[in-house]
Amino acid sequence: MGKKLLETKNISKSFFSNKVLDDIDFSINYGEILGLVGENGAGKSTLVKILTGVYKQDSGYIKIDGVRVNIENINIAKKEGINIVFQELSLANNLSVAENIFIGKIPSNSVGFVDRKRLYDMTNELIEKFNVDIKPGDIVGNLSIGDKQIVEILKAISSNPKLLILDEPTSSLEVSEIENLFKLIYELKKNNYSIIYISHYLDEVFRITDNMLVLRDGKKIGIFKKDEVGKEELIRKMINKDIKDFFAKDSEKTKSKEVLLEVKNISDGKNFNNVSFKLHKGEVLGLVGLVGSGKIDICKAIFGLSKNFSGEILLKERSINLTSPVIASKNNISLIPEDRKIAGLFLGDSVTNNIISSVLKRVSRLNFLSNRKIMNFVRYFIDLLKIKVSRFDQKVTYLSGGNQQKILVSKCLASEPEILIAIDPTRGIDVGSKEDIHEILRTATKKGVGVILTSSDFDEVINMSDRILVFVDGEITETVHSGDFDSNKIYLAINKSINGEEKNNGEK
Amino acid sequence: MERNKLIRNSPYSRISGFKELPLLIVIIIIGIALTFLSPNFLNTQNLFAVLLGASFDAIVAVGMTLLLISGGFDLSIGSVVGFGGVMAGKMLVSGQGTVVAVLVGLLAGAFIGLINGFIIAKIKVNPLITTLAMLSIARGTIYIITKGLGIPTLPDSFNIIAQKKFYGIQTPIIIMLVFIILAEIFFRKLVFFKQYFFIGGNEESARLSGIKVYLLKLLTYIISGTMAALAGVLMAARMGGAISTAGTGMELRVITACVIGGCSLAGGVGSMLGSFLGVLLMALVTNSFNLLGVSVYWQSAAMGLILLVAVLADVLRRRRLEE
Repeated sequence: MGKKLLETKNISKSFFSNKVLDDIDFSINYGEILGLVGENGAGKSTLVKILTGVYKQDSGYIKIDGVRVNIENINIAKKEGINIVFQELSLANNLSVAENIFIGKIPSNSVGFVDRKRLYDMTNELIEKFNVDIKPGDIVGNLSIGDKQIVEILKAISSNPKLLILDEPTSSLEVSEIENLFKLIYELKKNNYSIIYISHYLDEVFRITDNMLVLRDGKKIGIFKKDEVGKEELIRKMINKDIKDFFAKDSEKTKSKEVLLEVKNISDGKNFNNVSFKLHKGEVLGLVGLVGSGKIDICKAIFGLSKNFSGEILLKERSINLTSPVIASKNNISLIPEDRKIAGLFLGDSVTNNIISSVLKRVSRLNFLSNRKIMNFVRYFIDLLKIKVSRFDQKVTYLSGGNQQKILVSKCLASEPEILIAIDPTRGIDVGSKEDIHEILRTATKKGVGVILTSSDFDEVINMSDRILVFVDGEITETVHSGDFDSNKIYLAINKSINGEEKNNGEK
Repeated sequence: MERNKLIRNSPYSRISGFKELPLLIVIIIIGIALTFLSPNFLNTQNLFAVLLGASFDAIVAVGMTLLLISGGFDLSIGSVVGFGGVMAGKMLVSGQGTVVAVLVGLLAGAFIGLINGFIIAKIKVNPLITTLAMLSIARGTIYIITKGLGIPTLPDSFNIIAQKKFYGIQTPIIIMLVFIILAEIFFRKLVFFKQYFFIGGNEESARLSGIKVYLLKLLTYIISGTMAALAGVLMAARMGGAISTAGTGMELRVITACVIGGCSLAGGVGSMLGSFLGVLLMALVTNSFNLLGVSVYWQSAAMGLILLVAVLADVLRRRRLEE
């Protein structure tokens, strides 16, 4: 393997008092593919953001080719030879492959017209060098997602980086597309590019990388050669929770046999297939699976956001046609959406208005809003969830993420739902707020609310749920009861493809 | 201690909630300045003339305010004003009575609003383009059905609805005041209208909160069209004839007034009182130009300038909010 390209020493970073990266040392050689793995919140994205100049480290330094560099922003990162391809693609769909790759540095002739021939030659040069199967003149909008991903990588390569960071590059790809992507990555390696590969799909990490850097709670657990460590061992290093931690549930309430919701054989032909389950009164039903496993699509379907699916949904043994959120709301189903800013809150509006937005009728008399009722209502939730606001008419946009999220939860609970669907209810918020929200969800279940919970935070689902459904490729592959929670096994289960090799023993 | 502060706080604290105050002060200042600058400003006749002139804009502003709150937009109102008047006139010359004529005029406006609303809320075409097209279509239709001439004379039995006075106040002013007061209370307090603030604030969140976004949006365009047609019918009655160019340029004036009054082109905020004060301000500016003998050519430029300043202020205010 080649000589050392990049090296970090004692990199630390805190947000407020929260230490998210603690003394990270690692290095990567020319032509090396380094996997970066860890749970959500382990510090992967913070580390990447420091390498690309989005954040500045509090202490420590970065060396490139043995020279200390100061990466102030993303342009300096590019100049130093570090480039990143994000999970979300950022291509112009109406332009050609060549134009997308060389956007910002399109060659022109002496009069200033686009020099199409040179543009295509430059593109062909890249295409031949890395042996990919696309044409310079293809319109990007007509390409498959896999090919778009390849164009995105070529675009990053066109600025001649030494180190390319790939953030979850396969999360939306089909199997055959992943093969093409891997081919390209091997070509890059052959050409002495270094790659940091971030993925939740451990199978892929094991296949493609040379070494794996494991982070946990902002600390480096180690760098492991892939032949030195097995998959289960790696997961244990990533999670490090004793299995006993997960027995702390009073499994009695699962015995409440009143079924609130029954899903029978629903399929939408794309994201989920032949899914059936029941939700009982007072139960937290956790859905786990990778991005694209269908767990979120199911949640949306139950809230009436997915119109075309076959199968049946029964509410209290009554069949119901859930075709819109209006119908779902009428039937006492409430949704905490995954992105509070885009689909949850009215950021420019007041705390008061946000909390009452779905219960206007209840805070009014004869259809006129009653200030007194509003006051009592809003104060109840502010006390209940310990929301820190300076005034009731404060605009929500000025609040911290944790308090915003609490307002979103208030808004959903305000309508007194019987079924609460929570997608990532504590995403990106501080530990204290997280605990407050968990507590409130538990309280709700004691009153009989059935909760469907899914989260990018694996531990959250394990700690909160009475029962866990494991989703793989749009199907439920396992159902785990609270007594049998074993985070390692569940982690293995979600990472296993549907026609996966090793079948787990004993679990059902 | 912090708790006490909270408890004293009302859900919509009143003093800080009176956002229209600066605008009111500006209007008073202009009023005082005009009193000194022109001997003809401060008398009942001139003030009623200003109010009467403002009344048509203010009636249109009722629909526009609701639209802007919900995040919508309607450029077609200027033509709908003319269309409503002409349709009412058409009924009258064909021998129908006043009631039928007024109803048909209003329905004509509602119909245009329905088409706008359907295209915008259902097919999800950009409201700017849709209503710009409708602006042209409605005006063209007026020219087609009246051969470009409008309907020059209307019967007195119809004209009386806008020419009669009660206690010395012209009916359009009374009708305007009734609508403004009702709209101010309803938009602020009625559960139904509160939903529009949520749609304008974040349409996706509103949808997930179980609000019937499509129907409500459709309705705003129908209301906007109906109110514009009402202004048109009153205008025709006031002038004793449905002019084919009636309402031309009104969209610019009304939208300017609403934005000055606190509506945002991004939706989610606004009040009827604010929009009304905006209309008054615009009417005062026009009046001052007339009183001070400024050429009409300047008026159009001044209107545009005021709109630009108001929109700039809106954008800057929002940017600060985002930061």
